[in-house]
Amino acid sequence: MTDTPPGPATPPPADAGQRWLLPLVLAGALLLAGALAGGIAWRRGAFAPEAEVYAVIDNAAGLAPGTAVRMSGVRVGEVRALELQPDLTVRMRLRIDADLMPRLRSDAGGVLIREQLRPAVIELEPGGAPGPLDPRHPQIAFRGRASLTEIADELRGRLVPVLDDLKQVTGMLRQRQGDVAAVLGNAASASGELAGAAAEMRTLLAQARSQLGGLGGQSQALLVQGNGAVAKVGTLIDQVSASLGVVNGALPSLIHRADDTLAQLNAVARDTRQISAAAAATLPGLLQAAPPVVDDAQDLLQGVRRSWPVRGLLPPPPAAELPLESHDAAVLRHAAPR
Amino acid sequence: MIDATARLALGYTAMLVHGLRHVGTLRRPGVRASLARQVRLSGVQALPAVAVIAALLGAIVPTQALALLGTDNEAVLKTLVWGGIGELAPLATALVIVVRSGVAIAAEIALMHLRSGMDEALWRDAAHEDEVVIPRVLGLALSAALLVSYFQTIAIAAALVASALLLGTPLLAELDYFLGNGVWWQVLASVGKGALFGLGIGVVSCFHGLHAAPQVAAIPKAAVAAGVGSLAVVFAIDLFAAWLRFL
Repeated sequence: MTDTPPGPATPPPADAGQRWLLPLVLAGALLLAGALAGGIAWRRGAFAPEAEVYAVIDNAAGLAPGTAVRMSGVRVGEVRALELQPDLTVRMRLRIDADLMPRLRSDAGGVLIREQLRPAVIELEPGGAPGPLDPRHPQIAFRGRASLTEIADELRGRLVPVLDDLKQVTGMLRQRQGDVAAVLGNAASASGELAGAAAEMRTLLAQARSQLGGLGGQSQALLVQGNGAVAKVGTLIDQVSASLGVVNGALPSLIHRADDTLAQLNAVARDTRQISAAAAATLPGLLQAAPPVVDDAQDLLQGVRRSWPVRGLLPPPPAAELPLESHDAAVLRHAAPR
Repeated sequence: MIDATARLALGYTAMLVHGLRHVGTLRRPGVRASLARQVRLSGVQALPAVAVIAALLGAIVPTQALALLGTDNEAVLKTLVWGGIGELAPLATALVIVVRSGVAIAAEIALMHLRSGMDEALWRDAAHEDEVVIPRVLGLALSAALLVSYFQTIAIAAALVASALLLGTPLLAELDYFLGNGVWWQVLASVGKGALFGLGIGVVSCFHGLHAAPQVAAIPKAAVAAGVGSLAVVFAIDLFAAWLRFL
């Protein structure tokens, strides 16, 4: 598409529509630009009454004129100017809506919020003190919230000395490389010895493993034997149980028989007592009659003993001892010859 | 190389100064009519193309910004305000003007020279040069300002619509947020920068058209030189504007 060359003296006349088109388009462009600029200016409070507060800060990094000022997340103004003071602090002037001025208390403050990939924003905190902000000296406190970059910078500042130390240590180590080589040689020999010890340990472990294997076999045999013994004991216990069962079965009859026997014995005892009583009644007479009989028998024996066929056969009688008790029956039965 | 660049810079400056000194020629009806015609050709007729580009760029910027920065409404709008209005609108408009009008003006003037049959002395006559240069230079400046104004409005509207659709927020809330994060003078500065771009493109194009040899082979050379020179001047002005901002 090319432009048609305009004739310098007599340009071709335009029709009525085209004649009005150009002014309309030009007016539209002016109107749009004006509306856009005016809308932005109106929305940003250029036509609204405004007030100014300020804060003194140590560092204005990340701040610039035009930085948004918000209250409760709503834009209420912007940074108007940053002025470096003689003491190298920065006086930051904030333009805010005039309607908000009575709501700021004497302890009002601002917080700088900087986040990655987002523009910096100042969050205005109205404060809670009973007194309002002095309109003659509307100074507010200010504090910043560190961004990730600042945290990284701080971390870098802390790490740099550590890295310097590390560099020095590395230099020292490089200087003592010979010592390190000797240490490494010693370490190598120690490693060799450790390898030998490990081999011995491996052998010992193999032996221990074999011994443990033997012990395991023996233990298994013992366990088998023990199992057999337990089985036998079990059999014996069964037999004992059977015997006890037999005893339990026979015991009542035995007890019954014993009772009968005891009853019979009682009867025998009773008879014996009766016989004894009867004997006691007859015995004294017998005992009174017994001595002459005994004396006779003794005389008879003495006569026999003195007879010659017997006297040579028998040893002479021992001397008679006197009985201790006259009523002793044994003495009476073996009385010395008188 | 440096000498040629310096010569070109001096020639551009001389052309600009000369044109500004003869703004009074606008009092002539023929020159005014020529100016109006140039604005129609370079501005009004370029408006549909610029509007399409603005709408597309305006929709792409928040989409890409949301993809890169997450659904951070404020960052997206900041990107749109500072990048879209401050840089994108004048630059995109300047590129459209260079491609569409700057090269054509250089070829047109070179062709006029070729077809007029005038000798060099008459062709370089100051009065004739004013009649040729003033309407084109001022016409491109006006056209660029006009196009920047429409470009930024359409781009912002498209961006707000795209942002509202992506974030699921009301369009009026997006507009309110945008207005709250914008800078009013940035809009006017952007329009002014666009006018400067147009002025520079006009000067460069007229310079190369006027200094083309009266030969057919010189016409494409003049067109190419006008295109390259216009782009260089646009970026130089942009650099100068960026430097002014950091002063």
